[in-house]
Amino acid sequence: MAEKSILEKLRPYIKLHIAIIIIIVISEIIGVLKFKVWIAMITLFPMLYAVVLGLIISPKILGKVIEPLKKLVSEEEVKIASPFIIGSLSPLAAKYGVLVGPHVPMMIKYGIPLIAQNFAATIGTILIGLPVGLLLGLRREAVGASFDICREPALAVISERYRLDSPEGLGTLGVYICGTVYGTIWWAFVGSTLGSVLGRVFHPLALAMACGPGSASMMTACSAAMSLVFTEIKDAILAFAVASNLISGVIAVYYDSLVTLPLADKLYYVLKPVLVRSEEGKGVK
Amino acid sequence: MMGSGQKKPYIFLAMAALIAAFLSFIGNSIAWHISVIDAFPGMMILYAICLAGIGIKWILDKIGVLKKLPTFAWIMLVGLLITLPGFPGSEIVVAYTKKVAFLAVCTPILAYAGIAVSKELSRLKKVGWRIAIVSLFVWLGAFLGAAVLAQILIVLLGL
Repeated sequence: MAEKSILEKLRPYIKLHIAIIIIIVISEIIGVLKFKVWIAMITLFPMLYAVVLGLIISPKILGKVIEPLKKLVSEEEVKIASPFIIGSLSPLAAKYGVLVGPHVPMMIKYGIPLIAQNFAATIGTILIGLPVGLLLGLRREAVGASFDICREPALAVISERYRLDSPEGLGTLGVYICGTVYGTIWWAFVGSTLGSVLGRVFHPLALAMACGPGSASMMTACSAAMSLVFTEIKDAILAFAVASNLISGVIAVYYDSLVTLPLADKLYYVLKPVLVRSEEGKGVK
Repeated sequence: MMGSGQKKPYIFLAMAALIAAFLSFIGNSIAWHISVIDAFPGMMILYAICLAGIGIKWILDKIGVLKKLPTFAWIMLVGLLITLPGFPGSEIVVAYTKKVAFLAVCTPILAYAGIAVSKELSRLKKVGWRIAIVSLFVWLGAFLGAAVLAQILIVLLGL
């Protein structure tokens, strides 16, 4: 009796891992694909197929249509998958550690740009994100969406300053959710295309550092894609992206609340009359 | 259901890390053509680093010091320290762990993440297309802002 109940308890875990193994095997068989589009190189690799496959076999998408798939991955398996993400991050953390260690002397040499560029990243999000948001018809949401790359530190800062259910908070939360769902895919695209295009002019390590400001998975996707562009120095690319990611994590909360959020707020009132003048009379919210 | 994860978080973490390490062999041998035998010592070193990091976190939580730092940070710190140039045996650790492809370690994480994130799909629908498009430009801005300043400084400093 007792044995049966243990088996019953383990059932969703076993089912989850059957699905995981299938996803990994398919992803790894497809392997690394490179496409040349005009002057850019688009690189696709197994972790991207894995996240897409994981999403589409879920009960919300393909599970709705294919009955056996719903039996393998039901809502229960989806629920127990999250804690395993943290567990599977551990070997990656160890791999990051052994990648960074040998590069520490080189990082000290590049210390100034390595630290300083993190402060420029969130200026970049405002300078590009805020006007685009305003032109698309967003209002105060654009401030919340663009004052940071909108990961956990940004959620903390915006909810304390404006509350999460304010227009600003919804902007941050919106980008946060988008980041969770397709952030890795976009950063991999940025890493491979801009890596291959800007790599003709820019120092490869400058581009590697620029992979750092997002979440750990965004940085991983960006630097992994870029390591397939600059194959001869792939370890240095990964190591510098990791270091940049760590530094941005340390400075995010302080920098966001003291500099970038007030800056986005001010810039909003400067840009709004310029960019949305024509809509003034229509009474848009 | 998730009780096992909350009751003994450290043991759960160690087990989940072991499963993930084994899952990484799949990619390592299929996509990177590194045999399981060649990759085994490196994978075990990585796993030992994981255990050391989880152990440090366990002890620190017990004595209540630096509780805010996640396990991830401790694991990385252990890996970083033992591969610093000049650390005894660092070359051996670097040589063996090179046999474990970085991308092979990433695939299991994203497979779990893909399944787990499917919960968020209904929330994504509510976000609206404007925010969905803005998000792409926000991230692009972050990359360009950082890259441009890094490049300027590298040139100015003559690195």
